Amino acid sequence: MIAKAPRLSTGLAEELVRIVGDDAVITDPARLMVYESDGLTAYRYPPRAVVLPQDGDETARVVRAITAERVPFVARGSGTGLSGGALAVDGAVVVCTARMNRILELDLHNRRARIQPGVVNAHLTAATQPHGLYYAPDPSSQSACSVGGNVAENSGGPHCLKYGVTSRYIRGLDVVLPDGSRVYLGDRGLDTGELDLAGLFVGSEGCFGIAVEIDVELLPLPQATHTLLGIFERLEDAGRAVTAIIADGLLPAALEIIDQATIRAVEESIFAAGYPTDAAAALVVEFDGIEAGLEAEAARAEAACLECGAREVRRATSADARAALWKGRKKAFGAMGRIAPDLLVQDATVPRTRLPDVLAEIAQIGARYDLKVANVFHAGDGNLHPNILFDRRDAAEMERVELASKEIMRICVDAGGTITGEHGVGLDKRDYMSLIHSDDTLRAMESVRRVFDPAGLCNPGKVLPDRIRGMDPAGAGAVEAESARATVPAGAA
Amino acid sequence: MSVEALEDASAVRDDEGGKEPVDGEANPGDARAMNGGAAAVGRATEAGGAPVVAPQTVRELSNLMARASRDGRQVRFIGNATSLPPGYLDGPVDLVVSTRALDTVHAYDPADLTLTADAGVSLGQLERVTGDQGQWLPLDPPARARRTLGGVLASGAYGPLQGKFGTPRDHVLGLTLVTGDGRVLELGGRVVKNVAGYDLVKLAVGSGGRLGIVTSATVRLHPLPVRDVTLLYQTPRLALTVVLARSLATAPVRIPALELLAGHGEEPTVAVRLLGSPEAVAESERILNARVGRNASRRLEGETSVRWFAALERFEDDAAAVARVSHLPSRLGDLVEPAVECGTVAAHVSLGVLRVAVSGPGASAAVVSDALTRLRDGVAQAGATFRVSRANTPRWPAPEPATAPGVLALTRGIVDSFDPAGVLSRPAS
Repeated sequence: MIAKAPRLSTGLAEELVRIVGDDAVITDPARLMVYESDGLTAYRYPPRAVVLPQDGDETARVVRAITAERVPFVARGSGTGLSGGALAVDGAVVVCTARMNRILELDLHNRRARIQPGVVNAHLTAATQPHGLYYAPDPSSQSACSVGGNVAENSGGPHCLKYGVTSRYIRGLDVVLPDGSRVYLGDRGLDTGELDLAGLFVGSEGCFGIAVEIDVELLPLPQATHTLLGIFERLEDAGRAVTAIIADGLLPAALEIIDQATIRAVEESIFAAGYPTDAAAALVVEFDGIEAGLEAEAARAEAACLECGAREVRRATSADARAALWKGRKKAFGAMGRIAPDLLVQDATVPRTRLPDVLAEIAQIGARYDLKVANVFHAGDGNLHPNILFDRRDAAEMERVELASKEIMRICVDAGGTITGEHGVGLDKRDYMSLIHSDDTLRAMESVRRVFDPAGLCNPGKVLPDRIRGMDPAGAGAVEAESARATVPAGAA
Repeated sequence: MSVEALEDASAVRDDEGGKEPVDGEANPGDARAMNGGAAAVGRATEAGGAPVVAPQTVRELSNLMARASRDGRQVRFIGNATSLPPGYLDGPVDLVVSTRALDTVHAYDPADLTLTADAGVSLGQLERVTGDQGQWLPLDPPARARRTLGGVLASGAYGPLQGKFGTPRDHVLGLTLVTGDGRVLELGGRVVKNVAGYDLVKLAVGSGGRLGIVTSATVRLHPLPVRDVTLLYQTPRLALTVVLARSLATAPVRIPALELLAGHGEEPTVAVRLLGSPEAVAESERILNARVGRNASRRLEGETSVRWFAALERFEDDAAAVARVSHLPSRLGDLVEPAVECGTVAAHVSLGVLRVAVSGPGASAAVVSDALTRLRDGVAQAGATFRVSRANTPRWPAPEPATAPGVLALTRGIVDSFDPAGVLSRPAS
């Protein structure tokens, strides 16, 4: 899927260089290739150009210049997204936030930080740790992904079981709107009685504008952390252990499962973590907080694992020993490169209690389509990542991947779940949106999008199915006309 | 229509099962015709009061809103009418829709820690249902037990527990919204992580009924804490209390609830609520006492701890007016002094939000408005925001905080898209 981008007009190119300098405008096709894909490598859209502004003012001027020529644009952070959200569809210009990577203010008294969007997630925590604080959301890509990207995707991570996702930690956003104007959304934690526009902006996948300054809330570092690794003979036992731990009234900071296919991939790779390769599943359980209570909680979790059939439970409290227990989980994605050249990281959420059934069904789907499916997931949240391994040069296999993906989405929705828990809809899942949302709801989303971006130039082609984009949101007439159109079989006209 | 009249109406429901109409009952025939078949259940006692209707199904409500939208009738929403924003029912209102007939808990799966209930279910009811399973919804807005789920979500109201558990937006996984023009939107879902599309749930929560009416919601529950302890630190001087509160707020411990009370007839007080395992609570207590160099003046545990904070939920009950003042938490000291001159203060210390309860129930409008004006001017110097969240006087001189033009334009666009006929709010002048 490689589209060809139109060229940048000379006038616009000159204007962009005037704003950001010629070292911050990329138009050379060879250099643009870096930006034609994100973490979802199956899609490629070369951008018309890439611009790297240094601050909010430059970003606003860049956006005004681009949209004045009715050219679309898309914001991009580190390019680690897994749903194609930052791809330059429709010959868009990429506005990359990589140079906006400064922590502008660290307010220790109020446990807040004001940062630019290109700040890498892990760097924020590294900068605040010496002061006893940290930034809680920790997506698995945290050593590379930007907080601006996390805001766009409302990113989660292993520890959001206890701490919640990105939206919980965003106090306010200084945003460049698609018309190039600048507005502060949110209340800086104040009590204003306004609509929660910051909450709406978080997770809007770059369709509502570009956050150029972000006010985040920081938490005090937990005093101590205890980690357990349960080894199970059966995947469903690990799933039952998760339910048992929650039923016991415990709230671990993380509850992560990796299945046998993943364990083997890890153990055969340079990341070998010492997980037994004959085990069907490994469950990582982590508790953090006040040291005094953790030992008792870890003991209860261990008992729950053993009652559910764990053949072994390892425990660790020191940083090194904990890192060793986590290693198999953290390196899972990297290790899969050994098995197949391509990896489709799927993402869906089901009610936690449905995990065992859904996992069994996913295994059947994999078998039916003759595909390797390896599961790594945030079990405590019911957030599954069935990873399909394939080779994109094999067209027949590609087709089976597509069909299997669709079936996996369908069973997750049928189990009362949703089509994405943390990776977003982007380009990849637009057509699954109708599995969970009515056309009325999709049109309501479209009408809100249009309030931010009436010209339709901000990250086009994302989140909503094409048939919804540009539709009239309200009014019975429009609604009926649209549903009538939707039911006409393709080709009937 | 007066708030008292509506509170009477809700009292009827609480005491007698909700079947009795209130005084001045509307002619059911008229109301039915106008309301798309929903039976009118009451009318406010004041002359010109709009009929109150309580649809029994979402479909009925949707029809009613579609009709009101077509006919250009002004509609307002109430739950138990415990905490309506001031002025919400002022001006020409044609119809008041109550969620009282939407009162079912639809799904509760303790193993998933999620619950789906109708908007008219009160938080007190939810507490009973979930308490039996050792779980709770850790959300403690003013007047919690009497408030409906729908009312809390519409208002976005929260209480001291936000320090750990967040505000209503952080508890809701999904909800059903009937828009101003009668569309029924299922927003969000029933799972704890969901990023499928724009987050219209966040938009609906706290929207004050400007976009539509929440008819049901799925919320995330938590296990009840094993240990519940409240520490009360009292000092004779307000300035000292502020220092103590700030010192606790910056301690290396996450405190679920941290409140400062002043002007309440006792010495200024800092209240800390600790929740968790017995070991963790004891250790937190030790860390906090060491940090401030003293022990708490009083220590409450278990049921008495729960009751102390439950009493704080009634802080606003008898006030003639309540103002909310907010600033960065570190600026607490600049706000408390002028606030305590004007009323009783309860502050969410780690958030930087002060509630100021002005005068008692019998206070004259002039007295209330004078106190509010002094408060507004007093905190304005510190650069704080100020708004009146409750008032029993028809007029108060304090303006809403000015909204930035960009935010106003976005807000108007969004409100228009949910309520194209403008039946849920009069346009801001």
